[in-house]
Amino acid sequence: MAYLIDVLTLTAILAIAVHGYMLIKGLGGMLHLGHAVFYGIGAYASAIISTTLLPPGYFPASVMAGALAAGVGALLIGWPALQDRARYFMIVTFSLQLIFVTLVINLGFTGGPDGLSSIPRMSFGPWQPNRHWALDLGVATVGYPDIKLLVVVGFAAFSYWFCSRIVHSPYGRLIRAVRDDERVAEAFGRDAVRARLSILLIGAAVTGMAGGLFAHHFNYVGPSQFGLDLTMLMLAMLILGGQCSLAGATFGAVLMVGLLEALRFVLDDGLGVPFHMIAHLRQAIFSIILILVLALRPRGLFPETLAHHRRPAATPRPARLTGCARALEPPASGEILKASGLIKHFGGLAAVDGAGVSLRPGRIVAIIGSNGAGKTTVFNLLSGFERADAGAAHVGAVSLLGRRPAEIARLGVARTFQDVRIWPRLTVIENILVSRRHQPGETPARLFVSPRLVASAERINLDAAWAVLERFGLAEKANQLGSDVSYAQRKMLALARVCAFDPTVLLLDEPTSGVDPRRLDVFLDHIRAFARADQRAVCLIEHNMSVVRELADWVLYMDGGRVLAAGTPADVLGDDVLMRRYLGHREPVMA
Amino acid sequence: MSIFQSALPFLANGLSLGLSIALAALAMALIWRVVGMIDFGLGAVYLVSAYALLGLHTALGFSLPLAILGALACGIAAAILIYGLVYRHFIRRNAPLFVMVLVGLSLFLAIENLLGAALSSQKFYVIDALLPGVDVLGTRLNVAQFGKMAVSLAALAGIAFFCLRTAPGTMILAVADNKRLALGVGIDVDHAYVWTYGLAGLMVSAAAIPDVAESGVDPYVALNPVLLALAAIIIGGLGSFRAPVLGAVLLGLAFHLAVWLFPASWQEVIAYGLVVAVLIVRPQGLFGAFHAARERA
Repeated sequence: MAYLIDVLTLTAILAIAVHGYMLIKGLGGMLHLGHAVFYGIGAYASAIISTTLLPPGYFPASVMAGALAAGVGALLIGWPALQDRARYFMIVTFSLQLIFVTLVINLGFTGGPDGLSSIPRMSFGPWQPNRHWALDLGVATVGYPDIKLLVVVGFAAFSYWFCSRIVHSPYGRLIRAVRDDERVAEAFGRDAVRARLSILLIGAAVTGMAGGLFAHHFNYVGPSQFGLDLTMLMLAMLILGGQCSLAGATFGAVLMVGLLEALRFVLDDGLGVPFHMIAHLRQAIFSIILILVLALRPRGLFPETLAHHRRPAATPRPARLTGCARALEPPASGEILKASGLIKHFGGLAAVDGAGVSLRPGRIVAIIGSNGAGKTTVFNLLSGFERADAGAAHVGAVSLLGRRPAEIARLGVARTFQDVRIWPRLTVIENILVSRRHQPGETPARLFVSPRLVASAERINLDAAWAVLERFGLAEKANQLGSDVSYAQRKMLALARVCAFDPTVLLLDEPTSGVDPRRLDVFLDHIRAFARADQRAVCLIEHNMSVVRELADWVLYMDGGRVLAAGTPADVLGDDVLMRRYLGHREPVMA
Repeated sequence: MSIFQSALPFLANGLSLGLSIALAALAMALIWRVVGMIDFGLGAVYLVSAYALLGLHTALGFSLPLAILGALACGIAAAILIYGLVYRHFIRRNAPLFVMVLVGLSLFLAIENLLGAALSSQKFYVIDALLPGVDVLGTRLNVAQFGKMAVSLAALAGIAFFCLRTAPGTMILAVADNKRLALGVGIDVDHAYVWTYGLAGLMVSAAAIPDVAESGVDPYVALNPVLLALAAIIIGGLGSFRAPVLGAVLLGLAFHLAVWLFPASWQEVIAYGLVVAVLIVRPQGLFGAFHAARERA
């Protein structure tokens, strides 16, 4: 019985650590191979503080100190490792995992190879139990281990609630968007590095809390406890349960401990395997379980839980062209975006060689030209995805060049991508919800400090998202995954998403390419509405001349990185010399 | 004795260690380039050939040269079997890099612990006598160390020759460069992978055998070579076959010069600290391009 309680206590502690892993790996999508480091930092910090600094009776404070220390550790590791699109994160965390044990052995204040012993038991104020403490309830006697189990399970429940609040919040949704496609998240004004760093910090702090509990549970911490083996064990728990599910993380920890204990029982009591072999066999078996799970069920037992949003029945269907509330009144006339003399070289090739563009609210400008003319590069320069070598670009009085994509997006310049790039593992409505600006729920602290504000903002956000979906005819698909809807629907969703962001300037990169000609009219109506009804400045790259003729107020013809001709559609498309040059010697095909 | 002279023994030892890391690093770099995975399963291959040498020589009584040949064969066979039985399943399903890394790592841990359970963690020696050695630059280098240096230089030349001059070699290079295009022009990618793993198995065994002859075998001997190989690749980069070798030499020197400058217990911290520093300052490696998240087409 005492053994069982001990195992259960450790299971609950590991479950908390795996919750932290789930936030970092499952929700944040970071390829993290050094989780035992955060656990170890928490355990050591808690051990050191409770043996040297804190008087007895401050048990929860030392656990919180463990969480804090692990969070600081995550900041120090994450800040350099998450730059440059986190490309080297796996190797950095793996290297740190290897360094951690030797580092701990070599440092003085960690007790070196001997570790730190006689860490005090859990105690609250005047309640300071010794090993034989017991409370006689008449029906049963409750000992210290029972109380400890209760406390640890309480912490696990708290951790579950806390992480679940994170996962199912606007903040969690943003983290998933960054996981799916960080470039697009940046195009919608979000700072991907900061988002990753924040979830790494939160996940590490949760894990550090588990480490602190472990120190008080085991009363000893030593370097050998936080090696690669532990990381692999926690990873096996996470992947078995399902790395994108909090329930999976919890259940995975319980199931894995259960399996390993059952194995110990069978080997020891059933088969009489000698003791020194059992530890090896347990390690071997959880490694093999991990391989089998990865081979047979790589998503684990529990799938990612997606919020199901119910379509509001009471609200009347909004008229087709409402729903995108304008945040900013654009100037009634005049240029809103002006770029000139843009130059961009890739090696020796001048992709953009002096091109410029001028956009006004309510007007649609189309850029045409053959492949390689530099059209998309102009968009990339304007939206900050490439850095211009020279030139000028302004929105109002603010210069765009040299700013990061997220800053430019926040100035009200939004873009779509030629290859659609919706967030595939978010539902259709979540794609809209993430895109909308000014969400207080995107700040993790607000989730806990002002939950009411977050909830009311989210209600407004949801109503607006439904209105956008209705406007673009996607309401039926609201709860389907982005990856599960058809190409035309994804293309439409890209328009809906950029509309939900409510920009003043829209850069649309081939918004109708690959769309069934019979559905084309719907797309044209929406693009026209961006300019006419919403009074946005619209610029689109287009290869279909009939679309250009239908939509554009002004056409720029680009070739070799330069604007060769500009004029009304009739002028430019009517110029036989230009059109021959563009389309070769075939006659322009008019649909 | 000047400061420079006092560093000489450490330089000699560092060079020797570096070249012995280079073999495993080259094997790991080959798989990384061709298959696009960081293969910790090479640790399992290392263990198989180490224990094969032990078993063939001490248990079955084969002569040392025969046992070495047998151990090399076992290493190659183990590498190819691991590919055929485990990795192929994941590669066919386009498993992401992280999954491939986990599979390799788990496989390594499983073999390590199975050997630990079956043969205990005890250290066995293949050669009981002290190995003969020569004094070089104020330190003593033994036959195994010279063997390692010679073998890794030969392997470097051999792999360059193999990849550039032989049909299977060019096939491997084609797959490494562009798998889809290679498929398109009718190269059997599976066949190229078998060659790749076989070659890597050969190199890892060639690294394992002198190690075992020098310092014996227990289940934990493979961990360090594999981790050092990874570190060498991170430091050197994957740009050419030279890059991981140069990285390995630099790492070996760092290991021993760390002892010259700092207390010996800080050796690993300093060496792996170098790895992290390189990752932060020049993540593509010091000697050329390095793609940690190389897309697996």
